[in-house]
Amino acid sequence: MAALSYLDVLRLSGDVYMGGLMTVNELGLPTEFIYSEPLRPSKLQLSLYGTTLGRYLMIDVVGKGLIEASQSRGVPVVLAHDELLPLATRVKRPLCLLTQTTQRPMGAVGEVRAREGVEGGEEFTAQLSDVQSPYSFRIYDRVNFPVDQHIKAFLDCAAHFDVLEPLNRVKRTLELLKDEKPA
Amino acid sequence: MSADGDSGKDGRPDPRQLSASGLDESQLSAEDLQALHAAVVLRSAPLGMAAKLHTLAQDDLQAGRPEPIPRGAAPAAGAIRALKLRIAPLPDKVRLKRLNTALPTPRYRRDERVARALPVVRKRLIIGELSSEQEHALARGLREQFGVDLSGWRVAAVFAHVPPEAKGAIVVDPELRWAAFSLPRGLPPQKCQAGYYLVVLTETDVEDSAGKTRKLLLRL
Repeated sequence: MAALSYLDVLRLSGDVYMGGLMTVNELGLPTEFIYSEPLRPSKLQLSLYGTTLGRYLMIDVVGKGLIEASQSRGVPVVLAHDELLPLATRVKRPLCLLTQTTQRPMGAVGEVRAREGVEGGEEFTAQLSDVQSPYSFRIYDRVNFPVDQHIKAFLDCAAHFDVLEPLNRVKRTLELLKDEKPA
Repeated sequence: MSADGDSGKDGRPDPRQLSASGLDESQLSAEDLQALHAAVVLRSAPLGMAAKLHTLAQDDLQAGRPEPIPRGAAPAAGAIRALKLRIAPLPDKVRLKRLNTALPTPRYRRDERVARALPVVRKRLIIGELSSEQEHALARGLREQFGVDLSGWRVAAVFAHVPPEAKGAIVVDPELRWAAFSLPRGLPPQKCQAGYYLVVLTETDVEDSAGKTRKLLLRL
């Protein structure tokens, strides 16, 4: 059964970081949800780490921690924003940034076209359904995300639900959880 | 040793002679004498924030530029020892303190119920997203549900894959752009049935969205 994971790491006000990872089945229903409790670096750490702190917390601490804690091994992960793409060098899960284009359908379902001259990674478009616009995938490299191997999960899921919609749910869930006091 | 290099029988300076420093060095031990000749005078800056080291070198003395210490005002031996303490070598060890700069590891929590509580949103299908087989199944399903009495109603929107288990918790956007549903608490997602479509019918004689609507789930 096809599945997709969705990862978001939020930078809340006051330099607080919080992340969530949700895995959905091919109907878009959640089968796994992990989140990190809000992480607030001290003033000393803010001073010592400087501008590298945000990137370090997002990628090496929260993002990496969530993916490693996930039990959905091998399931492709859709990232909420491009700051998370370097995670591809830290974890073994295939990662991508996904957006829907406004182009006309470009051919048969499953057709994939590479885009040239993309900085900071590789990009390709894929036709995931008959009548919808193609989706644009941005990946770190094809070692982390072998396209032929993982595009099928997106095709299976796109046949049932909007493959971008679960990202909104992750974000809304984190917004709800951020004010929750730890148990 | 005096500034002019004369010395007595025991190597000590002639007590009758005063050194170029202007001090009577006859009462000083050899150690104190050596310290005096290598004396360092700390001249504090006006605010005491900085200090300047000045050594009374032998050539300074011979050049007739002794420190302005008045004759007869020889410091006591104890004072010279205090001076020696001031120029004691700096400590070669400092106390180091290591700050713990490691960031804390966040705690991760696993809770599917939180995610399941949020509604799942389905976008309205656009023309052509239903296959011809599904369109036939839709027409057949409507006939079975309403018989032939479908006059006055039209299919306004179709939303894919809305599980019948969520039937009691379906919300449709007034403008029919989306439909949202929540799963019943405690129902595992793998038990939800696939292939059910939410069909929204509206009255054909009412143009605005305030008209009556009917919703039904059909397996297409």
